Amino acid sequence: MSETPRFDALVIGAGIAGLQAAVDLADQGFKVAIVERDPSIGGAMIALSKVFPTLDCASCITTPKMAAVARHPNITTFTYTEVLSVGRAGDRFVASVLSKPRYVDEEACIGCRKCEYACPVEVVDEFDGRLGARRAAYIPFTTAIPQTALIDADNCTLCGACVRACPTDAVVLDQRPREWQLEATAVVAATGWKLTPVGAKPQYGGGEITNVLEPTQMERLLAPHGPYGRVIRPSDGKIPESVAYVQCAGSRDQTLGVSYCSRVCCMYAIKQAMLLSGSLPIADITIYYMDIRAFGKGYEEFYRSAQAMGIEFVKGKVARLTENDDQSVTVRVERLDQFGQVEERRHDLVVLSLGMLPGEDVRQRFDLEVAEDGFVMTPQPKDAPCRTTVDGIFVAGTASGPKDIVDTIVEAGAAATEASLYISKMIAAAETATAASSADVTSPAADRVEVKV
Amino acid sequence: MSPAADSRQELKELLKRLRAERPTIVEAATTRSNAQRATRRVIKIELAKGPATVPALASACSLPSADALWHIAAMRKYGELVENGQDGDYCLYRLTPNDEGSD
Ligand SMILES: Cc1cc2nc3c(=O)[nH]c(=O)nc-3n(C[C@H](O)[C@H](O)[C@H](O)COP(=O)(O)OP(=O)(O)OC[C@H]3O[C@@H](n4cnc5c(N)ncnc54)[C@H](O)[C@@H]3O)c2cc1C
Ligand code: SF4
Repeated sequence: MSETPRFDALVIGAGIAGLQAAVDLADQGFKVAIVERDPSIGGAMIALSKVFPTLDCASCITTPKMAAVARHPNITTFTYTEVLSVGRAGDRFVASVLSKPRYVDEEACIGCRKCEYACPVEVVDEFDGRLGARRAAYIPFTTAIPQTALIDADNCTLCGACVRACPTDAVVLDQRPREWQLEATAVVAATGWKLTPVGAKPQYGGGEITNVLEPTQMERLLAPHGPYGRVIRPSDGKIPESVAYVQCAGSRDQTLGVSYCSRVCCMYAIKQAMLLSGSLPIADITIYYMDIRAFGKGYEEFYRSAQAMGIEFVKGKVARLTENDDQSVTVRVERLDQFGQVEERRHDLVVLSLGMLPGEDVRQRFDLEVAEDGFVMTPQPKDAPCRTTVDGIFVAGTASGPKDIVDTIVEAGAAATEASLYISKMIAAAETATAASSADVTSPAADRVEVKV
Repeated sequence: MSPAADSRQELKELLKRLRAERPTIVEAATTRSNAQRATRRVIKIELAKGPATVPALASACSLPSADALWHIAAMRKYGELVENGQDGDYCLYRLTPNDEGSD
């Protein structure tokens, strides 16, 4: 018998799309493998502060979904593991995956963080938008799943403090990466998004102005356990008196090769502006925009409430951002609402409303065709929006294009339904073939190998 | 040898072997870590004199203010420091009792 673990479905990526698709498939009795390249499941959503349009706490919505996946008897979760390629082998898909070394035994670690407290090395924390710090031995964030430590080998000085501090002898400093394979009848690609680069536009400072932030950094500043515990500017800790947003800073821009609208930037900017008026009640908040795209249910009302709260919306084209001696930022704007008049205004902090790019090179890795915008191509966008150009591989969430959480979850449910129909069809075909040949062939769901989480 | 001494010896050998496997990475990490700990010592000495804002701390320690804030964030996360009111547009930070005068 083959040693390769077999599943009914492989879900690539454990952001909100992957989590939802995995639970929906597992609830129907299918055996699911969910593979996430980060050390924790949760994707981008777990790092958000609150979510539009309800202003619910992002972690309060994401954490129960993460727990549902981790505890589900039909789901096997692989974290810190990257899907390198997916290819067809007969009626199944074979995925090559790379499990990166945590240098900590996942079975033995009890998540006590003693290694982290003992570690003397502090480095920049990616989870906190590179604004805060973490140790070289660390658990990525408080609600991470699994609550398993890992050691950042690039920054480890091999002092051995973590080994000595661990009460369960879980630290294994000589762990190695492991490449292995798994088989699945169907695949859901939920590989998500990444931000357009903050330094792409030299006229916006080319990523060199400390107080020009990425929107994900502002999410962390607004989060209850953010890097500074409050909103202050990263250059010197000043409590900002004035914050500005520059819309379409990475989208609808041919020069950047991103001609599409990233759909969520208007809404997240309005959300952050509203949250800022709560945490900085006397600060002026300005949103420089060309058009406001408030497309979803309740979104227009959300926009109106932001206006009612006193957030200033300036219709104009931002030409340039420059840093001043006091580290404030001057915004030079051509006001479209005032016959093109050029104005300059100073702000303590500026957030660029960056757009979304595909989170993974799906063409190279999974042989999926991509559309002109680089996201997974969906050849039947109207009647089967989760189908891809490969029969049996479905797509969910932002892997097929920029979208908000509501649309991501709806699409993940649809992808799970499509995948479930496909798996059932494959099982039926296998059973028919078995009956016809009276051979002892087992169904895809029945002969899987149990593997540990 | 006792089991504890045995395992201490094993760890020592393992660390030695791993250092030999990736000398450049470990050396670079050690250099960065030493520099960072030296800066941290200076910051703690300064804060032991009383609460300070980021710009005040940065100027007392001859550090760029963004770097001083990063250290403040790290110390806050690991419980070495807390906020202690405000001075104008800036928060004041002070060492937590355990860390006062340490280092
Ligand atoms: C600043 C900002 C604020 C936002 N705020 C809101 C909001 O308030 N409300 C709202 O509705 N929407 C909001 N959004 C949009 C929201 O973030 C997305 O809709 C959501 O994150 C999409 O989830 P996803 O699962 O598709 O992608 P992701 O969360 O990106 O998940 C994809 C996962 O796949 C993993 N992955 C990729 N490739 C591989 C591979 N080869 N192997 C293994 N794993 C892989 C990644 O590591 C990642 O964890 C915001 C977006 C931004 C930029
Ligand atoms: S590796 Fe050991 S010390 Fe670190 S969190 Fe796990 S059990 Fe605790």
